[in-house]
Amino acid sequence: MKFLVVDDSPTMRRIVINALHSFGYNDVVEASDGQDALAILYTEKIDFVITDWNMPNMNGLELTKAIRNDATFGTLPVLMVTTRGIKEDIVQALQAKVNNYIVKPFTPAVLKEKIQAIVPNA
Amino acid sequence: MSGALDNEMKELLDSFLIETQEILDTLDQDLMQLESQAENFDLLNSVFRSFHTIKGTSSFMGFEQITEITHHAEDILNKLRKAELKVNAEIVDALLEVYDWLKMLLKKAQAGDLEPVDYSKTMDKLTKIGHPDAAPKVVAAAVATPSTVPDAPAPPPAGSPTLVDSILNDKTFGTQGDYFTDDELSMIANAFAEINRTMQPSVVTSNPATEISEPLAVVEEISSIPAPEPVKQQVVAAAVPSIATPKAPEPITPKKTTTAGKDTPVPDDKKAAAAATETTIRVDVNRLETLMDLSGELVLGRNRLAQVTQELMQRYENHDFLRELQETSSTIDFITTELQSAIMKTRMVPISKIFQKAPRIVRDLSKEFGKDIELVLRGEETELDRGIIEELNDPLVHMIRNSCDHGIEHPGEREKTGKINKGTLILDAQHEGNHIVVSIIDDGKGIDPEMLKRKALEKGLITNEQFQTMTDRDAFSLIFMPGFSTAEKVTSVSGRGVGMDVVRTNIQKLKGIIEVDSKIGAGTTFTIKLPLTLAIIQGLLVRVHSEIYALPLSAVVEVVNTDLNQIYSVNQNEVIRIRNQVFPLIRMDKVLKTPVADTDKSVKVGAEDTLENRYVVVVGLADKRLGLVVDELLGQKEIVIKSLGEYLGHIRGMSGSTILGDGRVIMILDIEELIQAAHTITASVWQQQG
Repeated sequence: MKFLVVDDSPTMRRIVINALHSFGYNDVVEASDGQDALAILYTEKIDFVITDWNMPNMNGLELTKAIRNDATFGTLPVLMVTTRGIKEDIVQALQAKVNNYIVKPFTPAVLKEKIQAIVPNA
Repeated sequence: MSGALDNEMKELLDSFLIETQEILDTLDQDLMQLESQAENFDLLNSVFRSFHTIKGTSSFMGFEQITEITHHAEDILNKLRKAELKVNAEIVDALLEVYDWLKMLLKKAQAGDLEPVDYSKTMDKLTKIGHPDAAPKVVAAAVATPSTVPDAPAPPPAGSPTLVDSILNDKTFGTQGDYFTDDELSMIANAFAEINRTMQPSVVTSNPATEISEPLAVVEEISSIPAPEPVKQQVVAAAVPSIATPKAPEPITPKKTTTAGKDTPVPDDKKAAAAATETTIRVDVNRLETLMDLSGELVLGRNRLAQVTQELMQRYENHDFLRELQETSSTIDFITTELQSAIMKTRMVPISKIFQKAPRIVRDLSKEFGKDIELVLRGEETELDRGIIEELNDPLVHMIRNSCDHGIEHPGEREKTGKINKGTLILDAQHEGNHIVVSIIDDGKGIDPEMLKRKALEKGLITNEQFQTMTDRDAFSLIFMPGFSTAEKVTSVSGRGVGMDVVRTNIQKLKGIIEVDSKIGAGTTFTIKLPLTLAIIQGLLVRVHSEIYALPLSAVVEVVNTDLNQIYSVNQNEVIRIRNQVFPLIRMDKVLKTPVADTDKSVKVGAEDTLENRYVVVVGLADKRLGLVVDELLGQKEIVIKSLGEYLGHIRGMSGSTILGDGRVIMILDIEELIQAAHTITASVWQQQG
């Protein structure tokens, strides 16, 4: 299973990738914003996207919408990682059709749970 | 195993420290811009993102205080983004305070100091801004805890995603109270589950166990959201269209233009930085130093090669083979020059690194003193060696403070003298050949040379005779004397007696020159001239009898023909007058005791030797000037400074050596020591001056 980790903060990417490695997911690519991520999605076969919400150029919400509108990878699982946790955000995440939503800071165990809830066989 | 984890943790910590530092580097500038560009939505977003990122990463690193204070700042930024608050000075002040705390907390984190700081005052400010009505916080009541979440209703059949739609279409959804109701939470959980099924029908239906646990996990997640502050109720309807918020116009660069017309357009820092993140790597400074040294050696080899080629060409003219050698030699010459400048560039840092601190300093001081000061930055993109940048920081900051404190007057005072209320402080940097010239220009009250002289006399820094005869220019230089402070009253900013002499010392260390020009009522200009780099310099080669010496060109102020009418003898020491300024004069042949070559007929030997047909090179360091008498000027050369090594150790008057193209080793004169040696002469010069 190949993961795409999207976050404008290198430290956050490191945190998520370290967690993924500890679960045995070693096939991970990273992107620093939504545009970057889309460029990767067009050229590489990705199985799971973990994206930050607030990023420059194209945020996680816009990225999810772009993914959902794509014919080839429209059903890609998207897990939104963010510190935001207020009402409207959750409604927006729903509207964009993210698969799930995780609030920082989280433990690796919670991240694993979230991933497996979306892709049980992973 | 734990070793690997420790390593991972250390790497993360490093990553966090560097990233946060980088964010902070641009944050204060962004905040200052925000004050004047309240409508710039991109800028607002950028500032929000800065706090947001720090909050997110610090929460993982366990720096709770950083997380807490950035959370509060982020809260305010969020309200600004939603136009629930409007940018004003109070908000910017509070956010700048947060910035200051973050800087301090980061330093502490770097040092491994986890002792909490007391930032309650700033927190109170933030809370007051964020919640002007100071509504009592009723939190827990509305928040669903996992145990109170009712069993999730049976999910609708897969393939018909209606739950998400029904939530989104329900205008009343989420509008009751500050938090979702239990029912709403379970609907949300099911909605996410529904999305999952639509996206991957085959996977989810094959494993009913996770289907149950998954929605619960979501509920748990949402209910545990740390949202201590009440959220306004405009929620759903207002929030949804905001996704499509049109992009605000490009941020306008805030660089002010001036009448001088030599402003250079400054690229949008934000964009440049964003683009740079992907194309930069971090390199140990030591490696760059090594490259620098090696390129220096290469320059020497190149010079030697050119010289040998030249000599061969003269000896065996028109030899085809030699032409090839010459071509190769000139190619190497070209490449070496390029390589050297490329390596030098790796160490170059734009002066904006220092200049960007100015807006904050000027802003704070304007407030503190009740002055109105406009700051104009010019030539921020001008690059300097990083070593020089570091040394230049303190002097420049001090001088900016000085100009705000002593230079520019209060609006009332300005009005009385017919000036516009707003004072102007200009920071200007530009290249001038192989130097960089930094100017600090204010249109304040100027410096009164008479007052300086009186002060110096009172403090016993000058004699009565000096007081009588000192020129204005020399009087200005008095401010650089240790223990000299002109501040009538001591303020928190300046007048602590550690003033301008520190500036002078630092500039001296950098082999730079500083000049003061001031006009009472019109303002003061400080001009600092610095070499671009310290390792390879442009040297002026001079001949003193049969010996060749190099002078750092950056220290050369001017060269004049000796004019016997302008040379005076004072207490057996010679001085030269050039355009009404008097400089001590040093005859290099006497000081260096250079042997006179047999072929050297232009110079007579003996005590009576003439000054005719010789040159005076006026050199300067910081504010001091000195004339050096030499026989001949041999031209300008790029020279690589080599230390004299342990064997020779330190030789008075020499700062190092270098190798010429013909293999000759020549000495580089130490301007600082020569000037010090001449200082005793200077003291007596004032007495004789008319």
